[in-house]
Amino acid sequence: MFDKKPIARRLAAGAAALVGCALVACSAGAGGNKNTQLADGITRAVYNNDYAGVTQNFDSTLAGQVTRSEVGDLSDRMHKLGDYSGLTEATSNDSSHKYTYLAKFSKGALMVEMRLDSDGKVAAYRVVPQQFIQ
Amino acid sequence: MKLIRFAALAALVGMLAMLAPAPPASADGAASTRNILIGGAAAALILINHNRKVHERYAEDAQRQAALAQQRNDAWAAYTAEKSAYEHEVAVADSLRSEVAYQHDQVLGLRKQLAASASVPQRNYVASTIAKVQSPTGATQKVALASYGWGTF
Repeated sequence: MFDKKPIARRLAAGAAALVGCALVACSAGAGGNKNTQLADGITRAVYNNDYAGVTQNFDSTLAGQVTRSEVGDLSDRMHKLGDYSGLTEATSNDSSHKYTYLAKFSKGALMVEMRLDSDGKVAAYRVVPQQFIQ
Repeated sequence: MKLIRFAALAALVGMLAMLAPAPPASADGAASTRNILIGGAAAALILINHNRKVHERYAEDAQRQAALAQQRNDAWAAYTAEKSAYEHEVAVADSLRSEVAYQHDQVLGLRKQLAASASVPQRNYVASTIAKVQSPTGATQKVALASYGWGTF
C-alpha cells in the first residue's frame, strides 16, 4: 500500500513554512505599510474633501490648525490632476519619523510629506506639486 | 505857594502893625483894625498849618496805600506765580498720569496679543518647501516651492 500520509504531512509542513515566512516578511515591513496606509488614507480623505477623515489621525495640535476650507482647497488642487490611484513610498526616515510618498493621479502626481510624533500620530502633512520634484 | 506867601505877608503886616506907635486920639479904631489884622493872620497861619497837616496826612495815606498796593501787587503777583506754577505742575502730573495710563494699556494689549499668539496655532497652510529641481541644462538646484498642508518639517 502506498501511504499518502507522509506526503500530506510534508505538504502541510511546507505550507506552514511558507505561511510563516510570509508572516515574518509582513511583520518586517509592517511599519512601512502602516505608514503608507496612513498617508494613503489621509490623501484619499483630502481628495474626497472629508474633513473628519483628514484630521482623525492628526495629533491635537495639528488637528487644531486644519480648516474645512483648506481641506476643500487642497481637494480641488488634487482633482485638477484627475483620479487618485494611490501612492508609493519615496523616502523614509524612521529616526526622525519623516516619510515622503509619490501620490499618483490620472493626469499627474503630487509629492506627499508626512511626519509622525512619538505616539504615531501625524504631526505634519504637506503636499508639494510634483512637476518640479526630482 | 501863593497862599503861603500871602499868609507870610499878612503875618508880617500884622507884626509891623503891632510895633507901630498907637495914636493918642483915635486909638480905639486903629487898635480894632490891628486886632482884626492879627486875627486874620493867625487864622491864615492856622489854616495853612491845617492844610499842610491834612496834605501830609493825605500823602502819608497815599504813600501807605501805595505801599499796601505794592504789597498787594507783590502778593498778588506771588500768588499768581504760585498758582501758575501749581497749575503747570498739575498739568504735568495729568500728562504723566495719562502717559502712564497709555503705557499701561499698551502693556495690557501686548500681553493679550502674546497670550493670543501663544494659544492660537500658527497658520501655515501655504508654505515654502526647499526641493531639488532640474534646470534646462540638466543640473539640479535647490529652489523654494509652495507646499500645501499643515505642520512643519
